[in-house]
Formats: sequence, structure tokens, C-alpha cells
Amino acid sequence: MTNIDPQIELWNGNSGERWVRYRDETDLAFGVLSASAMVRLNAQTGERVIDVGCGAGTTLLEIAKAVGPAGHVVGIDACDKLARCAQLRTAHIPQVQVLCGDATQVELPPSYDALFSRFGMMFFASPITAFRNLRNGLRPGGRLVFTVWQAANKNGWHADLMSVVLPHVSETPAPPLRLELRGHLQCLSACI
Amino acid sequence: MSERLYLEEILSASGFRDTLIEDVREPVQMGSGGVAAAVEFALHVGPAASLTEKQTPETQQAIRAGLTEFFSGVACGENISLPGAAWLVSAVA
Repeated sequence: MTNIDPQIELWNGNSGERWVRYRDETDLAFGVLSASAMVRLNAQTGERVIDVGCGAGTTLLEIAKAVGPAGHVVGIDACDKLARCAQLRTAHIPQVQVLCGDATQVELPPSYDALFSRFGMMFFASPITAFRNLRNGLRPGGRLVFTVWQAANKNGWHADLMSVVLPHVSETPAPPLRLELRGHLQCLSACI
Repeated sequence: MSERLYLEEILSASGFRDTLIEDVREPVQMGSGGVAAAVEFALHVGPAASLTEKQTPETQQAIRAGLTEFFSGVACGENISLPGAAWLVSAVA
């Protein structure tokens, strides 16, 4: 029997569908933070890049433009609805490939120049296993660039909204996701 | 253990080196403009979405009203943004 990661199960439920529907608004919300990460990535013509948690494909489009037809971008997302959306949006760009799967298990040749993620690295049940596996896809000297949320109390868009919602609900919400789910830090979830 | 140290430990244990962790503070725009759009965005994407989805229609209406009041109070013209804080992490394989 296969154990399905609860996070993957959740994303393949209503969360993924909502993110597809509100993809433009989500890009607006995270646009400035995303831009900082893209500057740090500094993808160059001809480079090969992995985009983990590529979502609806916006970051794939940006990276594909930077690396050009001589380069290659592979996007990975565990949510089938988001991966399908990304596939449709990038179908006209030959240097883009989208994989629907678990980044912890995906097998990539050790030929990539960079590993990128916009808030897609916080969902691993075992982060060290996932990062080790993804690192296998990088050539020696390949670079890693990603964003994760800081603690919930530093993110008004999380804390302020929850202060509005929580008085109306009886159950205790699941704790914010962390880079390591069983860790004691409060790295905030990329919101589901 | 600080968040920075925690991140460094995960990356080090995963085989990465030369880790750099930058503190990035930027506003998170809520919706495409206006209070109604901000409420819809909050109800569909973000920490409130999954929680609200599981509630009764009456409770969902109460949450919607609460969010409308909240966003009306923080709106600055059509643009509604809330504080955001992220770590921008880079390292080398």
C-alpha cells in the first residue's frame, strides 16, 4: 500500500483548483517577492533550470524567457491541476517541460545549472530527503535559489487574516506548515 | 534554534554549501483591486481559505463580513496590501 503525503492529497483537492482559478491574483500577491528571487537566480541564456512547485506556470514562463530556446526548464508540481495548467500555458515553448510528481522522488539527470522555487519548498514530509534528491539533478557548482515564508507573526497577510477568521470557527486550525513539518520553527506555509 | 540556522542545517545536511539567507520584506497585494476583490482572494487563496471552506454557509457569511470590514479599514485607494516577510535562500551544490 502506498502512503500518500497528506500535503499532496490536499493540493490535489480543492486547494489546487482554487490556485488555478486565482492564479493571476496569486502572481500579483507574490510578485514582488518573486521578482527578488528571479534576480538572485539570474538565469542565463542556454542554462538548464529546475523549478520546484512550479504551480500554474508563471515562474516557468519567466525562466524560459531568460534561458531562451538553447536552454531548458523543467517544472515539477505534485498537484495535477496546477501541473496541467502549467503544461497548457507553456505548451508553445519547446524548452519547457512540466512533470507532475513528488519532488522527493523525481529522478533528474545531474545536468542542471540551477534549482529554483517560489514558495514550493515548504511542503516536504522529509525536507532533507527532498533537498538531497533535488540536488542530484544539479551539476557540481550548480546553484540553489528559493523563497520560504518567515514566521506567521511577521506576515500580516497570514496573521491579520487569521485574526478575522478564527473567532468564527470552533476547531483549531492546522499549524502553519514548516520546512520540516515536525520541526519547531514557524516557517509559514505558502498558503493553501 | 533560529530559522536561519535551521535552514542552514537542512541545506548542509543535504549537501549544499555557501548558503546565503536574506531577509526580504515586501507587501503582499490582496486581490486585483478594491475590497471585494481582496475578500474573494482571501476566501480562495491563503490561510483563511481551507478553514473557511469547511464552515457552514452562515459561518462563511460571517467570515466574509469580517473580512470586508477588515479590508475596508486597511484599504489605501484600490490597492490593498498586507505585510509579507520571506527568506530568500541561495546555496551551491
